[in-house]
Amino acid sequence: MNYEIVELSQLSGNYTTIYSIIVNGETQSLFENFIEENKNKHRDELISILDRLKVIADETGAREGFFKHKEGKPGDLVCALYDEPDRNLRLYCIRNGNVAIILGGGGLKEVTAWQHDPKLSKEANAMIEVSEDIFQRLKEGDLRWSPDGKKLIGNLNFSEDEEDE
Amino acid sequence: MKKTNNTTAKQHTSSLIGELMAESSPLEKARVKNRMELAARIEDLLIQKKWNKKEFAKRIGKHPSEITKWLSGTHNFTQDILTEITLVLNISLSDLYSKKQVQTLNTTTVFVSLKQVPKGISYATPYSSVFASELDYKTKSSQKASLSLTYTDN
Amino acid sequence: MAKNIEHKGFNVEFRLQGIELLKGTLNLPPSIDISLANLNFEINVESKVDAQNKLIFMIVHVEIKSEDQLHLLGALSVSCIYYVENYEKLIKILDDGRLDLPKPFLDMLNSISISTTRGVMFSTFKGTFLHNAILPIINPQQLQNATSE
Repeated sequence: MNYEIVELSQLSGNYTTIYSIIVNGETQSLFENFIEENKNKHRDELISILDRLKVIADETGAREGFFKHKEGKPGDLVCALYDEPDRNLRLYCIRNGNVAIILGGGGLKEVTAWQHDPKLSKEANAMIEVSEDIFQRLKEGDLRWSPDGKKLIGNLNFSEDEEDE
Repeated sequence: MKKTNNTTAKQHTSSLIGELMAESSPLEKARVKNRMELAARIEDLLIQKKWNKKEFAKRIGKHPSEITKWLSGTHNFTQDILTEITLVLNISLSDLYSKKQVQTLNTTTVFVSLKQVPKGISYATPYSSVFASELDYKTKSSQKASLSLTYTDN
Repeated sequence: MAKNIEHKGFNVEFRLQGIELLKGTLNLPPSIDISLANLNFEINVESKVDAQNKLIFMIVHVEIKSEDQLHLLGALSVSCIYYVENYEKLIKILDDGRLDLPKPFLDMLNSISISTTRGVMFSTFKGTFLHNAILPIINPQQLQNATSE
């Protein structure tokens, strides 16, 4: 997957920076695709998710309790924002402590594990790939977090045919 | 030579996000905020007491999954549950709603430079680009290092 | 030991409660060509308060870069923790809910914290290629004029 990490300026706040992914050739981020896919049938739930993200960014930070962890591979930072009670819209993200999150896509979770649902599989795997890419760049020094952990700094463009330095 | 890239992420705005955010009513925003702040406050109190979810669940007589729900920021607490929580945490109800414990006051950044730094500690380890070539681990992977130790009983 | 300071209408009793090293990294530049004769420092000071425990945290983040700003040579983050006896009288809550501290007192905390960080930095980088990278003296005016959030 070739993509760029961008900051969602309408959602970011003093406590938490909110990012998403724009795949090369597209104009919308994965998070916007998630909204587009669900805005007709699950509008209220999407509005609630946006309200929650804004509270995370402006008031509370991206607290561990707000996310369901171990959604990706062991040790990666892939998680899912907790569903509203009685609702099943699942949004996958990568969390860096309480101060930064990268939003991906998601969908309706009507199965016990995302691996059993093709749509959720696709979205979760995309975030697993992003998490691995970021980890690799952090290790190589091409990417770093700012001292307060809120901002990602460095090469935010990920292209599979990029030459190694 | 690897240079430091100081680029931050591009700012991205979306009419779709803006449109939906504008549809949220003040009441709904307040509901969401209060639930999340309450969950955050309970989590802070547990951290202060050094209790994990399991420990808190045991003390309050609930299943850990119930605690997970409480801390998710989506739960609508009843007065009775809040009373139970404050009793176990040994605080008053008003303490539960007090302002967040640690608040940020200010953040300032300055840039300064240091000129004519005296020559410092010189390293013996060679810079790989100038003196030594890197070991080729792929071709030498079959070599095994062996080490033998002899102990003498004195 | 609490210290009483009277300064232009306010009295503060406070002590340095603790110093915590939050982060320390060292990166030898990849090439001998990168000069260490002139260095650049980016200093970020965050101040946080804990009303319940009457604590003020001054967190100083320092990044040391090469002259051309392209190489990050080292980084350090130090938290200086102050206990303020008369916290309630000193910290005001503004109409919009934000907290406010007397400016001269904040300047003093900035100064003490940066000096402490200078010492911790020297200890941390002692014996390394950054042995002589002493944090320069900061003009308090620079902190006042710098961008704040």
